[in-house]
Amino acid sequence: MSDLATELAAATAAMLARFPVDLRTPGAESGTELWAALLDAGFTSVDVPEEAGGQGADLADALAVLDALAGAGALTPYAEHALLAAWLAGNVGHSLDGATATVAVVDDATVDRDGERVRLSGDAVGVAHLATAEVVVALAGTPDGPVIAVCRCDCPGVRLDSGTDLSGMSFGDIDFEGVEADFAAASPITVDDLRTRGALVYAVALAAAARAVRERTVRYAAERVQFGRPLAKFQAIQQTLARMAAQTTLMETAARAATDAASGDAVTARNAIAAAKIVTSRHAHEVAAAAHQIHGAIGFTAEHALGRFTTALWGWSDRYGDDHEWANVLAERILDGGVDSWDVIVGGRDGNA
Amino acid sequence: MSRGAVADDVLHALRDEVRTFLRTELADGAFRPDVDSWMTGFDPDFSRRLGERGWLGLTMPVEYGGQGRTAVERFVVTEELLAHGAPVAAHWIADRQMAPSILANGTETQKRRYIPGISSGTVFFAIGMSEPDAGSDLASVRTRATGNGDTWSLRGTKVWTTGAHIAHAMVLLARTDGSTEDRREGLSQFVVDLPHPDIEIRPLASIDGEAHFNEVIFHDAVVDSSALLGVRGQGWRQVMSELAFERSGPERYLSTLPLLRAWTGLLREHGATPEQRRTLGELTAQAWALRQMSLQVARELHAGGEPDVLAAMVKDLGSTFEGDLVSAIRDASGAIPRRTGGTDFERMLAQAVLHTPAFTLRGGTNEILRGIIARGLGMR
Ligand SMILES: Cc1cc2nc3c(=O)[nH]c(=O)nc-3n(C[C@H](O)[C@H](O)[C@H](O)COP(=O)(O)OP(=O)(O)OC[C@H]3O[C@@H](n4cnc5c(N)ncnc54)[C@H](O)[C@@H]3O)c2cc1C
Repeated sequence: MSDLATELAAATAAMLARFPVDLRTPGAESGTELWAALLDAGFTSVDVPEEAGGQGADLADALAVLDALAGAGALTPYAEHALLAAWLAGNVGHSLDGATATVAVVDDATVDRDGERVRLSGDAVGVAHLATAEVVVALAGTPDGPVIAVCRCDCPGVRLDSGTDLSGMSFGDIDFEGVEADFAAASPITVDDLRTRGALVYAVALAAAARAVRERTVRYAAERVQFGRPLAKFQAIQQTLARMAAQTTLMETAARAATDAASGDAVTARNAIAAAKIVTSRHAHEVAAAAHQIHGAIGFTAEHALGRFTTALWGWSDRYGDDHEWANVLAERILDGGVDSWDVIVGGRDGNA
Repeated sequence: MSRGAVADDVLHALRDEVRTFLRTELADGAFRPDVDSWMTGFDPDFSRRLGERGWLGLTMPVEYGGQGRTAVERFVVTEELLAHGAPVAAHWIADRQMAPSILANGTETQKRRYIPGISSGTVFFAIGMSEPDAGSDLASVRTRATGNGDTWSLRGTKVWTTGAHIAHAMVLLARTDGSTEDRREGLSQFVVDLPHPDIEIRPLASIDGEAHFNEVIFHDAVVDSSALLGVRGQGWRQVMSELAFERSGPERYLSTLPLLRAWTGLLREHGATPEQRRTLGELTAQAWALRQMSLQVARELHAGGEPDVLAAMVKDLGSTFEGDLVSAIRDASGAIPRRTGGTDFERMLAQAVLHTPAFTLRGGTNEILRGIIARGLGMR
């Protein structure tokens, strides 16, 4: 980690200590104080260009904040707001000015211009944190190329179909019916670029949640006594936990390697992110299952913290493409792009990759 | 970058050199890519050619005929050889763990005697640890070495000794002091030259019909006192640090990768179903992540660390993956494995299926490795 990333992680941890997270499941959006503190500190625009009101730091620095939040079980719109929406808007020089945002991909959009006004129509499926968002930053795919449109959520024509995800966070679809955008510009970022970045963001979040699950399960196994000794002393438990620890280490390794690769050449970066999302999504389920098994019934209760992290592991594994979707991307590279699978495995950069 | 990092262009150049060599060898028909080639591909000429190019003894000091290069450079060379299924079995054990072990523990004479030959790909080694009654419980070895002043007399039986029938020497773990109840105390290591008139080597056939490993019986075999490796009574400690090299390398997840590449070739030729594409992508991703972990161990070893827990994790996940890859490709390809006859791919698949049980046993079983991880987590 860079010095800045280490500093940001420590500062985020300090904020979390000041505004403790309620870890019950299903969860509610973590305290507004925590979110306000993150906004105030400028942590929600770490890698947004300075021209657009951001800090102009690196993606890896922003991911360090996300890692700290996800590892602590905080339910905030950090991934959607800071890493995707603010970054997207910042790429076309637009600042969100403190408004909380989420991000929506509208694959088949219509963008009409009438004079100064721009109107957006189309559907976005699977938008997270839409209930708390004041604005939505949409990346609209149009026949003339992608457009970034920023709309207020209370604007006429915005129809929210809002439910909740596995963790209890608002999650749903948005139907834009000729919504007048506050801001719109041709996007230098393609829908694929955004999905790739989203996959990296959630690979990092999954690894952080898995780490929390491992730490909590190791601790629980040492505390819980049955048959006169701690669970940790039973070999069957040791074997399960050792396997889980290896899998979480693999997830962390994959997330870190993909983060490193993200700043390099685009093809290598996308391969690494695809691989990392596959590995983190796949192992997420095994890690969650082992943790629940070792916790017994207490881990199944709403009061216990475990559910915060396992619901995240289950839910995030299909954000921005599940393992199957990304496996197809790699297969395409290998079978249609004529790249040797071994070259994908080795990656482009020997020293780090 | 961590300590021990090498400039990217140096590694790229090295990788390109190895690939060019392998392409030429393949074009000349010098070898056919095989799964588990580090156990099955015995080809002394091939090993010698690697030695001539400076790709063995890579991390050994130049004064002992090595190349004085880094663990990461060795990692690049070995992973290319494995991914291409090259016949590296002859020198594998010697280059992987005996050279570093002799360098760490050996006398000046032993270093000068063995390391240059290992580095030139002309001296091969076997590992004499397991015994009929000492498998996972290695500390219970019974083979005895009795000192008689200028000589040691060796008595006992080793088993599963890979390559003993073709090795020029073996490193033997034997009890010099105390009894089996003393466990880790009183064990010592020896470098024993082979063949030896009083050491009987009996090949043991395995389920693939080949003879890779052996039973090795010591009939009061006399060796010179200079055969002791390292410190008398410190055998256990020495073996444990040797195992870090044995357990963590790229061969712990790449044994079946040549099957993936061969299958990819078939998919390119005949087209792939969505399910086959998914399997290909998932296996590739898992291998990518395991490689990152294995590389991390190489870096930590180079920096003088003792990454035993990470190494155990790599071997547990990696050797499981080697078998998962075989089942996944078998399912997705619908091919029927044939030990003999059939196509190259069907034969390769058969060999992969038949070798799968070995992956999670050799080098310490996965149950034992998970025990090491559990200890690292503070559970034991
Ligand atoms: C292909 C191959 C090549 C080999 N080459 C060599 C070689 O060159 N030199 C050499 O010295 N050895 C070699 N070995 C031997 C290898 O190191 C042993 O097979 C291994 O250490 C296990 O010992 P074992 O076979 O006696 O099984 P056992 O120790 O009898 O184990 C049997 C089963 O019980 C489990 N078990 C044992 N103890 C425990 C425990 N405490 N807790 C939980 N489960 C346990 C094991 O995990 C395993 O599943 C080779 C083995 C193979 C398969």
